[in-house]
Amino acid sequence: MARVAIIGAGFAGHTAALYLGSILGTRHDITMINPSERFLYVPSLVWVGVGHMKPEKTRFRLQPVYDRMHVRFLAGKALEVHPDERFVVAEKNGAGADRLVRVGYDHLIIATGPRLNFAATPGLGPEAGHTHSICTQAHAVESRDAYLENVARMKKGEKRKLVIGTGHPGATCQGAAFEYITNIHKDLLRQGVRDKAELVWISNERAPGDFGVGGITARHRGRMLTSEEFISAVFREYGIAWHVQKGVLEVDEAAIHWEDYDGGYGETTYDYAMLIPQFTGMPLKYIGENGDDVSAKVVNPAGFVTVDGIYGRPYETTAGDPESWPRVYQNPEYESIFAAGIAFAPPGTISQPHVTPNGTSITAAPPRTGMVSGIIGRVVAMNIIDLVQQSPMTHGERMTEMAAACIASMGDSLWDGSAATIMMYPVVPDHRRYPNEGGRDSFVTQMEMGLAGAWMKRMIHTTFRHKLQGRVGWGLIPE
Amino acid sequence: MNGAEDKLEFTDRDRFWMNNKLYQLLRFVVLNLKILKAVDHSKRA
Repeated sequence: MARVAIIGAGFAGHTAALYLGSILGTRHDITMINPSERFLYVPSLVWVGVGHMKPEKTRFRLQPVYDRMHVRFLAGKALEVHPDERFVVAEKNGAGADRLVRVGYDHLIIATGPRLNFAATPGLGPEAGHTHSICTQAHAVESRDAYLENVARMKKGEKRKLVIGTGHPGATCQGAAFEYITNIHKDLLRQGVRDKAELVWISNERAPGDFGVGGITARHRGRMLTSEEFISAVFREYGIAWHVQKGVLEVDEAAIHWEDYDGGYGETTYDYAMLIPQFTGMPLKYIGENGDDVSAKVVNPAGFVTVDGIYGRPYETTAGDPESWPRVYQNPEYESIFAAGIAFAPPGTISQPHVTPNGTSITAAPPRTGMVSGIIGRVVAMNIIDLVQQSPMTHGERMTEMAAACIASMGDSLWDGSAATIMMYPVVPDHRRYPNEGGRDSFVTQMEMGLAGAWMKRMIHTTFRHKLQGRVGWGLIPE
Repeated sequence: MNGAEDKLEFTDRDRFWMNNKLYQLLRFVVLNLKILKAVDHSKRA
């Protein structure tokens, strides 16, 4: 009997658990370790953050799903990985003397998601800082309350300045922040106070619409349109001011302090700010058989698990070689360890990096959430199934072969809602396979705005929740 | 910095088509076809 342990029940880890449990679960031991007893559908937190969705709608209990899928569920936090002896030390939730447990494994999937590193930007974040976040359910609820308080003040006639974007020079997830600011715009219109609000976008992107993927180029009205033009037009349409090429260094009670591409320093005042923090890997201890720290063999300095990518090469080399990107997400030092989703270390950025004259790197990090996470979770699971069945790994997919969709809804109504739909394939440009300007498939890669996007968003929310709950036909729904 | 050479502007005609239910139904089908084309490769990986 093989033992497979998974750390983290986000998109990547949970998807892997569904495949592993459904195929191996009755004959082998599949264990999921996750601190929360509920799955959190993170993309819908944007709607929670403006008060358009109840938090409960973004969650479901994991235990019933895992019972059906023959996955053992350990609700607790993984603390240590012992890769030589192949076990994980986890702390079960609740009280009691036997909270520390050992989970042995033959194959381990690290799918912890990101650590929200608010501490990297002094004054950032809802706990120790002055800004808000929509990265967790608690943060989204807190953001919603603060946002609605601002709306109430606007209804009394006050002017308010709302700033949305990224809160660190190396932040990612610009797509979520973009969706949040457009939802706020729509909500303010609905509440009749749009004229009282100054909406400002601030980000570390090279240009609007970069989204950490270097922007996209797609055919529009018979010509090639860049995402910079498209997103700039959306911002103009909604009266949103934008400031890009800004690395946020510090936030105080009244202002966001940043450095720009030229090395100049400045500040943006705010009444309400939602800024995405830097993401790092989740802190886990990696302990060798002699009790020594073997972290350097498993993770990079930022805590992301190193896998079968080619690391340490210049941006131009990585960008020109699709094989820089990992294919099977297996750690080269410990073949029993795989990483999925945000937990794996990308070989570099997709966006052109930039270092200011002061030495500050202002570069959008590559997004690895949602569809990308789900696909990697499936690839890793299918390869582990191969290994358990004594055959070589037959699955592989680089980010140069994956599609992604960013659907930034601007109101969730199925009648008069709208969304900017940005689809790209592949996520990482592959100029060898697609020798066009953008390095992407020109049929799939698309940008458009309209009601169809709102339908797409709702369809994806509904079908993904169906899939992730392991309901009938879940395996037919793509990641 | 505000984008310098921005050429795209949404016109009233664009806004009409953005909320025209029949046209958007067609776009919905097209967007799904695009996703299906992309994931077809993915599912075979």
